[in-house]
Amino acid sequence: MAKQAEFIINGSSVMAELKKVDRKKIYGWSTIEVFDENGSKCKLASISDGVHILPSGSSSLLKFNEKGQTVSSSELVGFNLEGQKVEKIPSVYDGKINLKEATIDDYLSLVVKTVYQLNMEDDTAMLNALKDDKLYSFIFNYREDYEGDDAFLISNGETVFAVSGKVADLEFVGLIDNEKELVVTEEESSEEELDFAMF
Amino acid sequence: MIRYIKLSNEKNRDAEVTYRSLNPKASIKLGINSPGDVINKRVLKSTSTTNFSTLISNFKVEKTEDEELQKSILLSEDIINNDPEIDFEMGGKYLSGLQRVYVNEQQKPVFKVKKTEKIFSPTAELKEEREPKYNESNILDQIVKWTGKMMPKSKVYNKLVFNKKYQIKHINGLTYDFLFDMAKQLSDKKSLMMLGGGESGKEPLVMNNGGKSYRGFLEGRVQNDKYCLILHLTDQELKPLPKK
Repeated sequence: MAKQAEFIINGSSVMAELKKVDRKKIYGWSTIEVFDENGSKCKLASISDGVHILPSGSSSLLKFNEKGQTVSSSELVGFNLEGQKVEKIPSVYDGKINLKEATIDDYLSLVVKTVYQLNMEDDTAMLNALKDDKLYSFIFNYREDYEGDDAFLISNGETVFAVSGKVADLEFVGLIDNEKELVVTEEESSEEELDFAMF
Repeated sequence: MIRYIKLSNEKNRDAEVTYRSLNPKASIKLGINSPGDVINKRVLKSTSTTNFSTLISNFKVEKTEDEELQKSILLSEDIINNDPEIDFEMGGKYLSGLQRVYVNEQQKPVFKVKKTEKIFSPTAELKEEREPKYNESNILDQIVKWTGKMMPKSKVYNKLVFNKKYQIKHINGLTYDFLFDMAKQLSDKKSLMMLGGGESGKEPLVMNNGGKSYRGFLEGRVQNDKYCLILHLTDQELKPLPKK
């Protein structure tokens, strides 16, 4: 039996399996294969110092402290934008998920990362709770981590989906908030042209 | 860098305005004692002469059913006794400024390649082989059209997956009026407007040269004399996985 998450919706508990909706499984996919002149299959690799060929998987990304020593990921902790330590946010499988009512505009602000389909033994309660354009939001973490994603429960009338991602930082702009190109002023550019001392 | 898009309104008047990605930045930084006190560096593990496929190809055994197993056993012994997988001079070297190159099965660089695109069905059957298609961007040299297809938010939010978002902004007073009117119209009607690209004004949008094509929808929100115009892109309907 697949792992299930427990959603609390209108006071009742609903257990559901979260199955990732992979675009490939709906529309198919395409791959690009590369061959040399002799028909030999080619792969992308890297060249270091113009000499050494590094096939895929030849390198690793490591973390180093200020002394240049390697640091394991488990030693790291999370800090918020104010520089304060933060607690880990549990996985959606580690406890009950409390839902908050949301609006269509809240949902449309979400930059979507992943779509999950909710498989339940009985989806009546969930479908009823999500009809008439009702939506619910919650914090989503597949695994325990310092930063949770934003997620919404929505339904198309037949299936319930959990859509995760991050709510975008939308900006309401007024007349004076127009985009401005960084242009070097004439005074600055003429000064640079006349600065022979730099030679 | 400011990026530009040519957009037309319902009167078919067009203007060049700017857009920026709405991909949110991480709100948490990792560290040991303070945020960002660890740095990431790319380090060399092996080269083309010390990776698994090269090392295993050095062993010759009789052609039998367990040929690969025999080779693996020999390689394991060699790794234990002689460390051929470690390049003591190169291993652990910090890497930066790497260049990308295609290599053939002999791990030699290739300078002339032929590309083939294989199209697979959702059930992993090969449907078609063709020359790869290259999509040219159609948002700057061509005008992105207001198609007139207004779709209520309440009808569209649970039909499509909007996986990319951009915010559109004005560059001067004239384009402020132009975009504010669009946002107001969409906000009043609580609807998204489908946008179309290309010569016909009905094609999907390609934001970058060589990029994927997406259907574009414009959403407008208004607060007093301020507006927020969001370009939603989608390449997926919100539907469940096919039943096996």
